[in-house]
Amino acid sequence: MTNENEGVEILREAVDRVAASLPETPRLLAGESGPIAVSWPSSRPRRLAALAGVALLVLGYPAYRGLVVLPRLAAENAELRTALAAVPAAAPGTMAPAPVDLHLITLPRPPGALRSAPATEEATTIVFDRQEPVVLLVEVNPEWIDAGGPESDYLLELRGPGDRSVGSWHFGEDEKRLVDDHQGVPLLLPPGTFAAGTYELRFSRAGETLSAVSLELAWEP
Amino acid sequence: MIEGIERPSAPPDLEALADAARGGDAAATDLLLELARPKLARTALALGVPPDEVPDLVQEVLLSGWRNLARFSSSKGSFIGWMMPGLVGRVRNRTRAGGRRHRLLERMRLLLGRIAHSGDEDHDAVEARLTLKRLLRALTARQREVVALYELDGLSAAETASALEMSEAGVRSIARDARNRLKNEARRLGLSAQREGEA
Repeated sequence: MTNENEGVEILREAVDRVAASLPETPRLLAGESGPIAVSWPSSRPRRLAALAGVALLVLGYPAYRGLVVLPRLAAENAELRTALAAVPAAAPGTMAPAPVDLHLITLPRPPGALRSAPATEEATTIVFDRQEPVVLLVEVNPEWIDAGGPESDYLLELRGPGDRSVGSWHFGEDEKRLVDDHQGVPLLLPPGTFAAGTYELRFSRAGETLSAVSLELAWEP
Repeated sequence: MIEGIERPSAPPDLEALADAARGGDAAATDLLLELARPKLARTALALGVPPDEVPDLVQEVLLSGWRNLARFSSSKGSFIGWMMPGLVGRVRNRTRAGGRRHRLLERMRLLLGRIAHSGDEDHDAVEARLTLKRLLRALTARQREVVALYELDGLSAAETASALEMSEAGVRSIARDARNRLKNEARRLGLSAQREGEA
């Protein structure tokens, strides 16, 4: 194909395929005083108005007393909570329903190289429940990658007692983008794949360690 | 009431539906929103909105459009063209906002997405999301807007220019550059060859 629109056509096809995979949202139907969102086909405004009235009665007074937070006010927190709560469910073998703690790990500055990362190397202690996964958010300085070639050369690796590799994560486009945006790279340690002890998280390129940080993993009492 | 609009074989005229909806026709309003929703969703995707956020964003735009329906006039342009400034404005605000909460959610989505990929996820949809992300990455924010409205939605240069507050010549110029960028990126990524192979 040689036409100048081929890129646009490929984009259009991708858009259509993604659009077809989007989750359904409540339809908007005409109500007497404006639009009403409905999530089932036969619903009509009167029925929804009655439900809204009941919801107002149930939530209104406790909200007024500060005993609950109305959904609209809690929307941001709820979205985040849902995302966090889904981590245990998505990890195989996990039964814990509790939200997962996020552990932010900042890699120390490589020797003699960069300016804007901590120079000191301090062990980070992570207390964990053996039934739950541990989620690490690893902060990597974007300069480290910009200066050193394609992102696929980079690797994050967690090594445990006896220098045993517990897990390794190659960098891809998503990780590169997160680093460029100064966000952390999320790493998941499924339950059962690690034990209490001293670990080292290494950031390396082509086998050469650029930075490393010690992690103390301890069972929750 | 518009006759025979329940499930027509040919797509009904959105402008006629909008006129009827403005006059208080509930059935026309329902159908108008139902037909506008997928169009707006596709535009939002082309503007680079993450797929998970598209449904809520489109819902907001539809509600806003509904509230302002009295201001719509079919003599001044298409219904979708009239909705576009609201959609583009929200996408711009969302991009600017980008705060801490959004970044954290992004992290979690990435993580959850990675786990889900090892399961039963629809590979076709995953591949399409990746293609979308890669192609849009090659465009500037302005080029995305022009491509979404002018190329994908099929708005006229005048409607696109009006929605994006720019000149018609600017629309055509940006569209030309964007087409070239998309074509080059599709070739660089091997998407053109893959498409030819599938055909």
